[in-house]
Amino acid sequence: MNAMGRFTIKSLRANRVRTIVTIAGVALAAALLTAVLTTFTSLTNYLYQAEAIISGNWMAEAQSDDAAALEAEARDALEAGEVTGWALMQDVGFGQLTAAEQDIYGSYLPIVSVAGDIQRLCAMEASEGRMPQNGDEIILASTWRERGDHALGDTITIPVGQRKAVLVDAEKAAAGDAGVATLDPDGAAIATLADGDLLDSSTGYLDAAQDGGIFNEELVDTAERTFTIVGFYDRAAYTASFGVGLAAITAEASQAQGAARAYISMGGIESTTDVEQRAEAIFPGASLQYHTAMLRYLGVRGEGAVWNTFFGVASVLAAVIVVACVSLIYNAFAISVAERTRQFGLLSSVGASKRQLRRAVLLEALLVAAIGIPLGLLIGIGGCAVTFAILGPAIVEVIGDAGIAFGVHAEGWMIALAAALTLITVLLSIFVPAWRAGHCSAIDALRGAGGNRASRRGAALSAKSTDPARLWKRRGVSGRIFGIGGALSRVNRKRGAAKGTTAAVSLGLAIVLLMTAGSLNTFLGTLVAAADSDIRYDIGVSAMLDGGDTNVTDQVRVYSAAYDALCDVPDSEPVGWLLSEIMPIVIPEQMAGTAIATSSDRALSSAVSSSGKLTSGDYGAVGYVEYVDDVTFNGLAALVGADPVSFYDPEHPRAIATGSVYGNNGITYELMEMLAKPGAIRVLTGGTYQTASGQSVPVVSYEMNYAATDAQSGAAFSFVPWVNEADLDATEGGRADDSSSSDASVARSEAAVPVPLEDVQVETMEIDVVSLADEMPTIVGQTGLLRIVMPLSALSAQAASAEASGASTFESFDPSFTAGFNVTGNDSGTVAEALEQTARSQLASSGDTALDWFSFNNYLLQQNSNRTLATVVNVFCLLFTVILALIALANVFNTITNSLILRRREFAVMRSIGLSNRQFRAMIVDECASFGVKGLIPGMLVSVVVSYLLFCMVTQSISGLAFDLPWAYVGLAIAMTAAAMAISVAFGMHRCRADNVVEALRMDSI
Amino acid sequence: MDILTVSHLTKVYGEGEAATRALDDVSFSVAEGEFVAIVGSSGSGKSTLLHLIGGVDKPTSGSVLMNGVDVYSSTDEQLAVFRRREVGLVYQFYNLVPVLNVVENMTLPVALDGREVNVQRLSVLLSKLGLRGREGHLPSQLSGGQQQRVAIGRALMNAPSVVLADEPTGNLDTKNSCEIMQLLRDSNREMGQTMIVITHDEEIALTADRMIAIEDGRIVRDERIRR
Repeated sequence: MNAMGRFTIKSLRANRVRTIVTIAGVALAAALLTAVLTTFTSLTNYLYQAEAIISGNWMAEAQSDDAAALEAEARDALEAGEVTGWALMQDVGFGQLTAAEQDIYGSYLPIVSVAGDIQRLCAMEASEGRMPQNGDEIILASTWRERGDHALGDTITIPVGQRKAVLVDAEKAAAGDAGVATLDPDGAAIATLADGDLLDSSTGYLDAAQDGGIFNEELVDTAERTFTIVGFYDRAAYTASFGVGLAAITAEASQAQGAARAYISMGGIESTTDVEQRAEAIFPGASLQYHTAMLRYLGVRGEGAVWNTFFGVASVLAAVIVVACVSLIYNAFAISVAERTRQFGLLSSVGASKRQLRRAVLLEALLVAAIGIPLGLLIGIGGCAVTFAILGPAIVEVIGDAGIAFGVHAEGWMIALAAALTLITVLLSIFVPAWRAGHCSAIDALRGAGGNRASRRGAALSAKSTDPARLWKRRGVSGRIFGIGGALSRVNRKRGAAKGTTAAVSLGLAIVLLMTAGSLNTFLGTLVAAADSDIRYDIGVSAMLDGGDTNVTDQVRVYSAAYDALCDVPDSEPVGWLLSEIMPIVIPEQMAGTAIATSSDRALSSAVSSSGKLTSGDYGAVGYVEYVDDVTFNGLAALVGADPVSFYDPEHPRAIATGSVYGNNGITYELMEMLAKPGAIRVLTGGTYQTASGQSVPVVSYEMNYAATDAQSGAAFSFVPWVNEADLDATEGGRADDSSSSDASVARSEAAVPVPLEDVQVETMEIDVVSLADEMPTIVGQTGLLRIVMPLSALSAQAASAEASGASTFESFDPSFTAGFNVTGNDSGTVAEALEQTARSQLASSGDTALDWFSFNNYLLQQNSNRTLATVVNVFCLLFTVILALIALANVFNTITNSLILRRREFAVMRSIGLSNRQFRAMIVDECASFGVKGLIPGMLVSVVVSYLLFCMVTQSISGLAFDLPWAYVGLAIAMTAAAMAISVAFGMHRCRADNVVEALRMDSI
Repeated sequence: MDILTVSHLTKVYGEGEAATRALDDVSFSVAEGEFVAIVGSSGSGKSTLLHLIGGVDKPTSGSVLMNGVDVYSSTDEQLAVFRRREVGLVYQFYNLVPVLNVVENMTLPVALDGREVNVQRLSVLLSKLGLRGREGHLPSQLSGGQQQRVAIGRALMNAPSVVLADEPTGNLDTKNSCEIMQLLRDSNREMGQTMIVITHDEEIALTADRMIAIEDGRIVRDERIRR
């Protein structure tokens, strides 16, 4: 080792504290980068593993009716190396279950035959026993063992047949109204189904009475079959769970007929498009589906808005972290070099070349990195291990339990990347100090006895300040507040060359870091809130009475009695109840919010468009008219600052309506402005159609109709009244065009037909919307529709008032009932059961009212997972905030303390000629205040930019968010920075004061 | 009348075996208007003595009485006021505040004391010190001799009880050294300024009224100089 090397090591040893601080800075940077990367790889790996365990690691699924062909294609592809594995499942038939068995296992026992590597690709494995090896062996879901008393080695004999659709409602079919049959669980792609079609396992059980459709189904071609049970499975993977029951798995040879699905996995995939193209080539003509979750965790991603947000936010954070680390390390080195200016000067004076000086700094950096980086890698991975160990169960709960623990998954490339990034950070950080060291002239170093040197401008300024009469007049704010100390600081500021830029930069950076953490917290909070479920209570009961023969007042009585009975269920806490119906509403143009006003532009693409401009210039919309229980309503009224009493006048209906609300149009979340301001709206409650012969027919409903935009008025929307055809027929010569087909009219007696709006006397109820609320009470819900909320006791009064005046306002009002309850005890199952039984008996057994439909929902499980998600997000935000705050504060401390310590000779001079401690304090406080202001303004500006970038990333998945700075965090950031500054100054001044003036003055020694 | 009384002043640096007695039981007094030179070789303890008299260091034992007041029984705030009013310090390396110009450096102690600048005294000092025309210069724009004159001006500006000068010529060439000593001599004569100058140069010491020699922390000689 050469002389400079030895010198560097000696100087590192001699300045032990500073060396340790520098190493700690490098280690912290490495740890932070490692932690970010480890979190990323661990999460991706966990999701991959969990997905593989839950659903198998198949990438593409091909559906066809020819299992033999699928198998041949898959085998060929494996031989050709196009796939890394394949599996096949084909429908054998459906086992007929007894009524008692159906209650436990589902409608049928779907029997599926498997082939290939079913275990790896479809995560199908026997948890007990073994997989079947021929067509006589079978494995069943473990429910069969637990509840059905079946054991390994038992035989099961069961009639097996095919499912066939049977048309029951020929009338509706003829009317082309087959759409009500729910064939697909998603409600999407409703297949055209004909009478007698065979159904495969992907089709849910058809029951016209239950699903409101037009088909039933039956099992045909049944034949007794006997299987030996060779195993049971615990987890019903995607591939074995069907709408009609959990499959029994057997192993027959592939057939050329019967629905079959082939699963493949591939190697070396590049993109989802790549997977799609390759799968299409392997299975030409088959219908293909892809395992998108799997592909995503493999790092192959398609275009998902949320995924883009994730990567965008991660990139911004990584950039912020790198900047923070560079600044921390840069400062550490800059200070190290600055403190040794004289030392470098001396070295230079005894003949060290600039290159040698630069290399000395470089060597120092490399030595520090050699210790700091491995340390940081260990800390980062260790920190992740500890965090994951604590948070793991919560993360697992959020993502879905796959029976594997969430642990650290570190990869070689990741560690190398973290190390390389840190090294680059260190090298970037020392570039300037090294250059400065190289330019340290011997004379400057030896003469410039430390302290703040004057700038050129300072010299010019000082030349003017010689009038003895004006000397030391308390100029400026500083002088007035801080006296002579302030005046000195002012002079320093105006004439000094250093100007405390480093300190100001570190303060600004602290603001940026803290604000970034704040913005992240705010935006992630919004994400979690937006993704949060609409339902905010534990158990919901919904029902609707058959309103045909009952009036609203009777219904209110029945529902009210039911609610009272439900409130008596022990361990449950009522949240509230309401009656609501979706009604057509006319909104004056100036009241329509942006979501309503622009809705028709998106009519075809968006699920939320339920409004548009009418030819009258007003806006039409559909929204909930809701009557909530008086207690809840009064609470809402108090919240928006309205007098509850004013809402109970039956003659003048008054309401509180939705202002802005978050909604999801299927692609992004957005804040939708429903109503822009309060005012009077009209609800279409009914109407009378005047037939050509002058007869009156009541309007039964209004439908929305999006027409071509009317060029003149810009209208693209209208309400179309419908009347019952039976009512029309009852009036002689009712319709001009139906005289020719009386048979058809009889057949369609239940059908309704549209009639022209201009021939209808529309009945409306005017409701005065007094206030707008963005946040509705828990029971009301928050989804993206307009809600007009009134108190329940006003409903009866309004109905009575309408009846008295002969108006038919509430005749067609058929509200549905919703009540919410929270479970207070621990046994939510029992409480839920009690609530359900009470509700059913109350609503079904109420005299002359019949129950139209009933629905009972336990939201507890769903809520727990949402709360856990919020916890995980909050903990991650907190950790991130704490780490950023530590970096920021360490930086502030480092720079401020050192800027004071570097000037201790200057301070000693002043104190030796009589600067008192109080004056010294005043001077430093004033200087710091000026650093603060200098750092604060650029810091705030950069913060706004970073916050805006984060905002842009978040708005990729939530639109309509207003960009707002997290002001609470702005305050907190400023307060924390000020506190850090105060601590640093206190420490720095303590060091300077503790210094012996004599020692400080004598700092000539090197 | 004695303006300064030093009695049994002892200063020990370090502890245990490493302890060094920089000053060992030193006692003497200085009368008002006296010009005292303290001589001694490097490390003899003369600078320590000066710092103790100037109130910038604390003695291990003993006391310093300035105008009858015990310097080291004061609080830090009082000590700061003492340094401003009673003592003018001149260092070998000038120790001027780099961002202040000539007049500002000179008037800083007055400003720190919150008093009005005595314009007449400032003007007289500027003339005497040969700093006319350089009032607005920063220390970095001045030569060593000029900087030392500013330092002397700063020490004299307050008309302190004692001016303490620590090797005031140590960093200067012979011509400048002579000029500086002459300045100190003149201010002693013309203004009656009490002056204590530390030097290792006996020739310079001979311009004083009295010479105290220190060796290993003790006074080895204290004699009046007769001319």
